[in-house]
This record gives sequence, C-alpha cells and structure tokens, in this order.
Amino acid sequence: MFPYLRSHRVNLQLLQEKSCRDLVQLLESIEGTKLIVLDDSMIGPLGLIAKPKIFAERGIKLLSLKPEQHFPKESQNIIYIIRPQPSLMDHLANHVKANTQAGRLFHIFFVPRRSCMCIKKLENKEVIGAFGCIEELAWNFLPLDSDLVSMETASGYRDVCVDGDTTSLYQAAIGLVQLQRLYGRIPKIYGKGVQAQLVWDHAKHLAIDEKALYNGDKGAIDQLILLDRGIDLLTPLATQLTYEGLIDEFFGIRQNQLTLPAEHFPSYFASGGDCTRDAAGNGVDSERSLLGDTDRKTIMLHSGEQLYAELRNKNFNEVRMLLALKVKDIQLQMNVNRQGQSVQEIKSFVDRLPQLMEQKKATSEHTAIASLIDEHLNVHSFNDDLAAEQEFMICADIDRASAYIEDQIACRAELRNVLRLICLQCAAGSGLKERVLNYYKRELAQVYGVEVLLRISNLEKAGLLRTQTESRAYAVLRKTLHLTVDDIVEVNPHDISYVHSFYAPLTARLVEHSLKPLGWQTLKSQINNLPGPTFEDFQVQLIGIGGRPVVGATPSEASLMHARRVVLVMFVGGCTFAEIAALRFLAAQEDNNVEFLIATTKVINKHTFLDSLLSL
Amino acid sequence: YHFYNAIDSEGVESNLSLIGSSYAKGRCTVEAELCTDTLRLLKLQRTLTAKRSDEVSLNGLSVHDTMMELLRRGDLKEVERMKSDYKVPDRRYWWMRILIMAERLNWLELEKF
Repeated sequence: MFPYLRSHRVNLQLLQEKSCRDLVQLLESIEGTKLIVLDDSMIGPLGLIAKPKIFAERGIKLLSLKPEQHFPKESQNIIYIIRPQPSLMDHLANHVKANTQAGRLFHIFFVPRRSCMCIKKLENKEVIGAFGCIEELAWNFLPLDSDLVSMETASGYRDVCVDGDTTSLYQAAIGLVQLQRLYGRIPKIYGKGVQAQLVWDHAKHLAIDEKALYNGDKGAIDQLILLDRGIDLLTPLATQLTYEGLIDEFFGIRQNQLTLPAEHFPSYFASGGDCTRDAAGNGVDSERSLLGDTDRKTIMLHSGEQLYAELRNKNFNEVRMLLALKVKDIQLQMNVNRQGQSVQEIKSFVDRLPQLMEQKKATSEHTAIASLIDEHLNVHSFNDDLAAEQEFMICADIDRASAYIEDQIACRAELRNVLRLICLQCAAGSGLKERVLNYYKRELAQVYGVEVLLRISNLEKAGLLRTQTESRAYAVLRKTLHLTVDDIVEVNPHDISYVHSFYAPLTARLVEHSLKPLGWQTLKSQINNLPGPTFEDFQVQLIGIGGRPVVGATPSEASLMHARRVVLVMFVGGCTFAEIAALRFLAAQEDNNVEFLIATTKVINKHTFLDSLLSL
Repeated sequence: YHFYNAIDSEGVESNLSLIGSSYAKGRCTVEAELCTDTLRLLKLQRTLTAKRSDEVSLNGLSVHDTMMELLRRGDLKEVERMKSDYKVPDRRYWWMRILIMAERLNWLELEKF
C-alpha cells in the first residue's frame, strides 16, 4: 500500500499493514454509520498508517477535534482516535453533552494505550455511560520510511528528564517487543545511557512471558543498539547541514510532510494540479480532505521519490551542484535535435516523455525548495551562528564567556537561539565553569527578565546546562573518536562528518565503531565518562526440554556472517535528520556490509528539541 | 528546589521575596540574588514612573529594557547609577549606548567612539 516502505531485509510494510489491520478490525466491530474525530496530533500519524481510501470505502467521515462541535444527525457512531491526554477529555465530555440523541454511541480508541486518568476524568464528568467501547490501538512505532520508525512523541526527552514521566520509555519498550514479534528475536543488544537501560529492562521484562520469542529462529534483525539522547546533547543542538536537515529546521517536516506557501511553486499552479500527484506523494491524506488549504502546498518527502532519496542526505553544498546537473541533464534530453532522427528514435523518446516530465517536475520542486533554503542561509546571522557553533565544536575558548553570545544577549536576540548557543558551549565543555554559568544567568535575567530562570532550571534538569565536573568527556572523545575532522569534504564525502560540515555526530560515530570486530568492547572503556551505564545483553535461543543442544555456530549461521547484518539503532529521546543521514551513509559503504533500521521517539531538530524543553 | 517554580510563574511582586528565600534555601545564590535585584528594580521603576507620569510606564520591564528606555529619554545619570547597581558589564552597556544612538540617528556622537 505504501511502496516506499519496502526494503529487502526488514520489511516495514509488515508493521504498517498490521497497524492498519488493527484499525480496520476495530472499526468493523462497530455497527452502523461512523464518523471519526481525530485529535490534531493524530492526523499525521493516521496518514502514515492508512490511506483515506479505507475510510471512503466504508463511508466514514473524518473530522478534526475542536472544543465545540456538532455532529451531523445521520451518523450513529462517533469514534474518537486520540492520544491519552486528560485535557482532551474535557472536549469529549462537552461533545457528549451537546450531541446526545437516541441511538447514538460514542467510542474512543486510545493511541497507543488507554489511560486510567482519562477514563477517570470521564467518570467524574459523568459521561462515561455514553461511550460504547473504549479500545486501544497499539501504534507504538509508526513507519516513516523504509528504514525509519518513530513514536512521534515530541516531548519524550522532556517528559523523562524534566517531568519525571517515564511513559514514553515504557511505550518504547512495548514497541520493541512488538517489533520482535513481527521480525523475530534480536540476539545481540548493546546500549548506553540511563534511559536506554530502562527501556531495555522494560522490554526484557515484557518479553519474558512470550516463549515464542525465544524459541523461534533468530529474526531478521541481528543486533540492537540502544542510545540515549542524554549521552550526546551537542548533536541535537547543532545546525544540520544536510538537505533534509535544513528543510526540517527552516520549515519543519511533520510525518514526512512539508507544507510551504504555494506562491513559491508557480509552475505547480499553472499545471492545474491540485492534489493528485500520485507519483511523488501517494499520501493524499486525511489532512487535506479535512482542512482544504489552497494557499499552502503540501509535499510528501520520503525515499519513494527518486530525486529526493538521492538528495536528502547530502550536504547542502552538494545538493546545489546536483540540482544544477539534473537541470542540465533534463534540458539536454528534451532539446536533442530531432531532425536527423529516425522514427524509431523518436518513438522511444516519446515513450520516455512522461518519465521525463515527472523528473522535470520533481527537479523544479526541489530547486524551489533549495532556493528558499538559500535565502535563509544567506542571512548574516545564520553564518555568524554557525561560526560560533563550530568554534565550540573544536573546543576553542569554551572556558570563558563567549563574546559572540554576550553580543547576542546585548542585542536582545531571540532567546531560544541564545540559550541554544549557551547549551552548545556547555555540551562541548562537558559543563560550564561555575563562574561562567552564573554570569550567563545574570545576563539573561537582566535582559529577558527573571522569568527566564524557570526555563533555565528546565534546561538544568535536562542536563543541558550544568557546571563542570572533572572529566571532559567531549574533549577526550573528540580526539579518540575523531568527532571533528580537519579536512572538510562536503562533496562526495568519505566520512560521516559531512553532515555537520566537519563534525561527526557522536551517536553515529559510536555506531560506526561498534560495527568493527570487537568494536563494542573497545568502545566500552572509551565511553566510560559519558553519563549513564554501558550495557550489553544476549537473547539466546532457549533449549527446550529434551531438545538437542543448539550448537553455537552451525554451518548455516557461519554463512550468515557474510550476509549483510541488520542493525536496529534506537534513539531514546529523539534523533536528528543529520544522524539519520550519517547512518544511511554508513550503510551505503561497501565494506561495512550492514543495513540499519532506525527507531526513534521523534525526529527532532535544534528548534523542536529546545522548544519541548523550554515550555513551562 | 522544584516547588518554587510554581510560585514563580505567577510572577507577582509580593511573591518575589518568598521565591528568593526559597532559592537561597536551595543553595542557588545567583537565583536568589537575582530575585532581590528584581524586587529592587520594581521599586525603582515605580518611583521613576511616578516622577514623570507623562511617559511610558517602566513597570515590569527587565533591567536591560529599563536602561534602554531611560537612555531613550536621555537620563544618562540614572542609567549610570543602574549600571553600577546591577553590575551590568561594560560590553553590554556600550552596546546599549550604541544601539540607542543609532536608533536616534545620532551619527555625530557615534563617530566619537
């Protein structure tokens, strides 16, 4: 149904189909005409799971959840598909009171699980009787791309670190078990960080009852690497320089969708296309049918589209070049002098035409996006910020208050950006000197008002701002793991550091090293001074009673050694597109002989990450 | 020291001393100091506003914004006093001066630097 999810080893389509089946089953268990009401945060995820066709076929209408709503008379069943947030229950209660009529039933499907708090709240409002069935849809991981699944919980890291709410960890653990159910047991597990450890402990606990998980053969996934966001706070704050990363930072990608003002795409209007672009975006999804926006254009971004798949992970400087090449290429093909050609040649050209037009459209679209990004890049402040960032990355002057930050504060620059730079300095120095930290606090409070202290305390709880301890993890690792490289190669790179121009994300570097023979063992001593425990675990096949003992390396398993390994890398607390790009780059290297599946709580960037932490 | 946050968000002046003392209990000297500073600032702002009722109210502005506003009025003496009172670093002080001069197109004076 979603062709872009298909890949040769771990087929994420299975996951999507299963999720979709769950939904359909639930829907069919309810009789009568139906109307689905979606909470805003569910619209995108639903589009990742089910096509609108499913609903159209069954005559189901979709609405988005609003505080005041009146439902048409003819629908007998109102179904809510929502996240378990108690605040939403108030709306529901109001709806029920305003819309009760004979023969009407309300239902709730909680995603990913029901919460007692929500149900209790409905009881308190005395509307619980109106609800027919309250079910849960266990959509823990949503497939975003052929190698990427996400929980789409934006506040995952914040919940755990600032609010002490570990629901998202638990959900991740359930998701892991679910993945193992679909794809088989994962024999080897490596991990680093407190949260990662918690997730794994939960997952192990949950899987204990499922003997089937252990008895079966080794599954499609060979290895799991659990990484905690807490071990690397520098990467999510740094500016990403890949094409996809930049798009996300400037415009925001939500569930593979990019929405931009349509005025930037004149050709698109001219061709009269409204929303049926099946080649590039097969997700004409509920959002559009729900809230028909005509002056916004939604673009689907995933590897199903050839050109984007090629461009997304490249450094932006390379993207410019590639786009120019593409344009030239298309022009060349279109303008071949056709006079001297035989009929056959012309025929083959005509056959190719639709494909060419398709290419042309995709190219023009991405040129438009690229030029928009260019505009943002050419602003002075962007380059100044980047320069300051890169100074920190190479550990220049991190013990003093940075003059650049001082100037930014004095000019009353955007608070978020100022805090980001301070956090970056802190991450690079593995903590700030107490004097410097206090100086910054004073400056911030004086310029932005005392309220800023609350936000700072959030950051302190999350570990983004802290005073220095003896160990200088980043400075040491920068040397031992070559996090920054001296020769900058952005075009046709041979090292993952290209995603941030010269800095290689620590997480991706860890994964890279763990792939080497005995890699994890050597790593263990090196990453000792990062926060959180380092752990490893093995899930071996259980020997059944009276069964033959399983010989460790049977010939078939030995031959498997030469096949491509599949490694599931799970980021607890979110990961950036730059990290994803780095991992994809590693997978593309021949000698690694490996394939990655990436799981994350949410794809984050410097803005969304900080925003989730800063909100009070 | 998490529970002070709840109080702080109300942001009422009367609460500030309370918050300050809780910060002090939680051994956050900087935060405590800043709270007392704010308290002082609010008092100062009130007297300043009372002195000249005709102009924009200063109440509730941050130290930086108050100084900017005063500079806009040309009250250099008061600004200098605030600078030493609130330990405003020289760098930021001159930034303020320059920004305000630029705002008023006071190029002649800018050249003197």
